[in-house]
Amino acid sequence: MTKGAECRVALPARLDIAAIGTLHKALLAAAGQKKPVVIDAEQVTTLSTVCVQALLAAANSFRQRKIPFCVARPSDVFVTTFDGLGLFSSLMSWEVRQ
Amino acid sequence: MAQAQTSFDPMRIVDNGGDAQDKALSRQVVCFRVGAESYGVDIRLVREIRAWSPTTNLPNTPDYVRGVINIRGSIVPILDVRARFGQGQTEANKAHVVIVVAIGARLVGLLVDAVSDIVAVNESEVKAVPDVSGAAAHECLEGIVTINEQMVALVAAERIALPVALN
Amino acid sequence: MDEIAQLRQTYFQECDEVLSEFEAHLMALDEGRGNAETLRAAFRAIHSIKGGASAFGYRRLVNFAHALETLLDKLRNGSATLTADTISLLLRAADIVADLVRAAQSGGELIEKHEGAVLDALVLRADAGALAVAPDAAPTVASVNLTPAPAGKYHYRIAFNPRSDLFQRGIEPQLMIAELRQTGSLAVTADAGAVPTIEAFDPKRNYLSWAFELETATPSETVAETLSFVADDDELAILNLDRAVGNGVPQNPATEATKATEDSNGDTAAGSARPSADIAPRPLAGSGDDALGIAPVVSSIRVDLHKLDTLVNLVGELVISQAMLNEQLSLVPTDKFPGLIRGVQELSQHARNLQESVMSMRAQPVKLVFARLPRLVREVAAETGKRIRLLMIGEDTEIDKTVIEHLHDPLTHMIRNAIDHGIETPEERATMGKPPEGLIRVSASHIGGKIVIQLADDGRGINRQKVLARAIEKGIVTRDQQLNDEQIDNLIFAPGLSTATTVSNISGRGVGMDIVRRNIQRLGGRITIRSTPGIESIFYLSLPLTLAVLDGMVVRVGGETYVVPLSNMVETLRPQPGQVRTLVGGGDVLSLRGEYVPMVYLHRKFAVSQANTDISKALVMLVETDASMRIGLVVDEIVGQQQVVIKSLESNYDAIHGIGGATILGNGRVALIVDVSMLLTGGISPDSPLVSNAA
Repeated sequence: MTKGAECRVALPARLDIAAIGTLHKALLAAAGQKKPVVIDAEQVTTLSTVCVQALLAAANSFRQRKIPFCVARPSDVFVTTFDGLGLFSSLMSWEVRQ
Repeated sequence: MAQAQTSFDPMRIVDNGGDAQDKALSRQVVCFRVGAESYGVDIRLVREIRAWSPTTNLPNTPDYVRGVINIRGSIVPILDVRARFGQGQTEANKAHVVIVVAIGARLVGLLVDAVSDIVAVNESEVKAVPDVSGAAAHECLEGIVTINEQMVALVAAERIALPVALN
Repeated sequence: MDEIAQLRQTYFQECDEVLSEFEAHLMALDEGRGNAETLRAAFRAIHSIKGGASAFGYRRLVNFAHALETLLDKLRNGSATLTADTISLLLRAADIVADLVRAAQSGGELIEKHEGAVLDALVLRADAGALAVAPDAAPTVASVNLTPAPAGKYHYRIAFNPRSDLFQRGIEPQLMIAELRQTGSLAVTADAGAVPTIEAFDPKRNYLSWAFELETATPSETVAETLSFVADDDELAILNLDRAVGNGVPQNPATEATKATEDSNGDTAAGSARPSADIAPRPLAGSGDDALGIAPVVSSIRVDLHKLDTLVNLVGELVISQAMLNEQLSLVPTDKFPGLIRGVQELSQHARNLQESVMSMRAQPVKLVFARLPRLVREVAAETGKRIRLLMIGEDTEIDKTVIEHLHDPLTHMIRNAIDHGIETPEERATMGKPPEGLIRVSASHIGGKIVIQLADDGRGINRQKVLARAIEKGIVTRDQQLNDEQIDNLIFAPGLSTATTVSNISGRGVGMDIVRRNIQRLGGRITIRSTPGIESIFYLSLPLTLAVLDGMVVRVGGETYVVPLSNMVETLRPQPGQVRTLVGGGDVLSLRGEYVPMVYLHRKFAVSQANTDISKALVMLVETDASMRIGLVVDEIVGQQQVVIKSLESNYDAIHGIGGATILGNGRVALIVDVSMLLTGGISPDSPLVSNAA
């Protein structure tokens, strides 16, 4: 799969409450197209629950629309946030790429 | 538990040979011998063919129930087909064969003298069973067919086991 | 979508758990063990069922749960009074909820107005309100138990179902979770089932809910208070899993009132009496730094029972293969392959440990069965006009799930028997100087490799004259038979011996104690009764720890091998000349220390060929079928003691009289397991106590 054939969503370092608007738009756009989605989570250093929810919602859409998606190189904070919220199994149900 | 055991995959054989149209009207039958007579049982019921091994006797059962054996952890009853057909008890030894069939959810082993062949039988060639043979055999048969000039009686496996199941 | 199906399944499982907790709360309130917290917990239980039902669209369930919730709400804030009638209504409502849940789960439809009557009653009761109670006083309940919480470790399950405006209130759940973590060891499970697709997603709303399991030294009031800064009353349910009753007592009515003001202000900053409610993590009073470094996190996962059964079967096969390996190894000279022998021995040990481990996974606390007893007692007591106090001991005793399923029926019969025949009416008890409330004590414990359940009642005991007369009348015993007290008492297990002059609606559905005993014996268990007239009766019920594995004695009869359950064995002996006598009516007996024990020749019973028929060369195994029935099994030789995996004969064949299953020995051969209890039928009558004094 060549780079051009993916839809890349690069997550910023701070995904706090202030970031939800931008994140929501980006995820909506990704769900509205057809190319496989790669969510780059390498830079994430703060992840609020509001944004975790948005990611969960996006995953629901991707599945429903049969858009392949994965999380690429999730940062430690990304993973431990999901885990701490009791959502580790949700994260593990997604494709995770290093 | 050293027993010679010939396992085969019935599905593999069913897939061999015969074109589609033939397949629709025919079935594969495992032929076996008891005494001088030849019989056949539908291969779709057959799970395994193994050599005879000593059974553990089950008390208070009909004389054709020889007992049970252990097949990979399941307790499987062995029925003596000769005795079931009212022709006396088989003096079983290692040369005899047990055909393990699945009847519904149950496994049952049929003790016979030997297994001869696996043949395809065309439905159109199967005739009704004449009332010549003894009653006991008769009720277990569902047809007669001629294969290589030999008369083979097709056995309804579930009826061999039936009186057992009714207990 | 499979995930939805999975979530739905989880929801239904949780409904079951929540409903039984709900019932437990109601029983606590009924018995005066409850308080305000119990009512609140009851409310939250129904609230959570309603929440899930709403998410999945189960309309009837939602409507009914809502009506129930409304009444519970009024009860917990005091605008309705809790009476015994109310509790009865709530119990009926719980049943309806269970029906609706089951209907939702199976996809079936209940008849149109199934819940109608109870629904109307709930609404009426809620509207009636009753006594005027000041809204900020603590709700009144039957009585409030102020036992101080025991010191030590608490184990809580906290359900956190925040409203959708959670984030708008400025709350970040991660901080709350971090705070909880500081108080003890915490396991977090989240429910993301309500999260929609990104198109339908409203970023301001919360769609998540959580369940926490917390092990901490902090008492629940402190935990509740901590959480109250971030969560409202109706978003939280704290369940104390240790059932340390009396924990949830509100500090004082003033706190309640303060909370109420806080809610209406929608503002988490409170008055001067409490520290400011910022949500930065801070140490809790009394917990300190040593709250950490404690027992490992208590967490669990749900496993399909089917998968567990498969696992148990596979391990069973492993054990059998292991035995075969050992058998083969015994043929190898010990000096030739020491490494091999050592290796196999280690393998043996591992296999045994694995088996124990896997079996323990299927073990469940007997409290699952005990939980249904309070309600049963309540109903039977009401029907008979008697007053009963139920005491349950040893609820945490664990039994294999294969046995637990068989416990409910015998227990139900024993309790009905105790209440119907044992416990006297309050008036009668008064004349005897007994307290008006009868006491029924149920206890479970592990004794001698078995699970032993005792059910004692302090009622009138067994009327021995009546029972004996009845037994003679029915021909179960003859007039001249000498029976001691214990034997007479145990006659109640004989078929057809109901001594009630009218077959009561409760105890007599045609199922008597004889059926109960037969079922228990079929499981390899025993049931006996001991009674002191006018004082008490005690049922003793013993069952094997598991129905899957058996400790057996392997014996040889002729060319056949059989297994006799060790639990039935008493002793083995070689009969002396003259010890075996033949009875006039046929059948042999063994004279042993003044008793005559009927003998059963296994080679005859099982038609074994080539068996030894010379009794002087045989062995007699004395076995026990129940308290007063002993028989002597005649076998050729004892091969050895072995733990065997029980295999069903019925999966491929049928049940055989006298045989209780099969097993596979180390040599790969099948050995039949002897069902000792059934051996006497078809010979000597099992109901005639043949144990008599030597002439």
